Amino acid sequence: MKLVARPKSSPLVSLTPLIDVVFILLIFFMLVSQFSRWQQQVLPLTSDSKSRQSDARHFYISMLPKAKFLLNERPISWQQLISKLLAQPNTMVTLAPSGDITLQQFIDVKDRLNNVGISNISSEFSSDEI
Amino acid sequence: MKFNPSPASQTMIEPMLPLINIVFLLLIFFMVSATIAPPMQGITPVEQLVEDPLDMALAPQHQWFKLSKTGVLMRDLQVYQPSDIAKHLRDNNHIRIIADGAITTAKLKQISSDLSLAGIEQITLVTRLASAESHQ
Repeated sequence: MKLVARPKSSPLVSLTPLIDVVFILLIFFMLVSQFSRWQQQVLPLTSDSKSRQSDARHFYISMLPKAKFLLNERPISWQQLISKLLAQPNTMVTLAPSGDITLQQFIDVKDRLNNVGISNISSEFSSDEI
Repeated sequence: MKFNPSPASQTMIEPMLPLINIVFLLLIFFMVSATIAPPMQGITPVEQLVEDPLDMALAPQHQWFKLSKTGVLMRDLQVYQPSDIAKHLRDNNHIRIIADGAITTAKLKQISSDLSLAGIEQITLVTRLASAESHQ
């Protein structure tokens, strides 16, 4: 008597499309979720204002709107400013944004100075808006 | 003659079930963890590249004050005046503020002056760590 093997029975409901949808949702939430890493910055309560006169050991950088800068009250481009700061790396730097510079813009400039190795930065905020 | 039912005729249990279980668990984890942090209520936190992690054990998020771009200090949907804040602080007149990045430095100077007059000794700005790509 020849016995014919019956084919394996497949599940009643295929779960493959469900797995596809679930994987897509998983990847979506993995990409969308962001775990915030909170940092801190100490804000100056009193202005540590230094002399604005030309001082070989101290750079007073004024931040003006439209990405303009003054170094010891003289206009200077960003590239020239970086070159001068890198030429004297141990010099103290005071960063003084004008009143209408936003906090994010101020932090961005501070980050860019830190990126080129200038870390000795003090801040001086102004109440005047241009 | 007794025939045992062949294994082929038995109902097959879906072999992918454990995988589906794990994937669902991961999915639920990411869906839930994405909603744990309380909303910032219209404030776009400042982003910085320099790493200086905030000790969350010393400064849990519910103790932070939010500073809107118009210069309004809030916590838990309640508006505070700088002169009233000192009595709401727990540690040594040290305030942690998460400020909107669009606030002007003039307003921030005004707020910090008012807080200093109210007896606050230290203001820490809470920022978010930015990725290098988002800052290019």
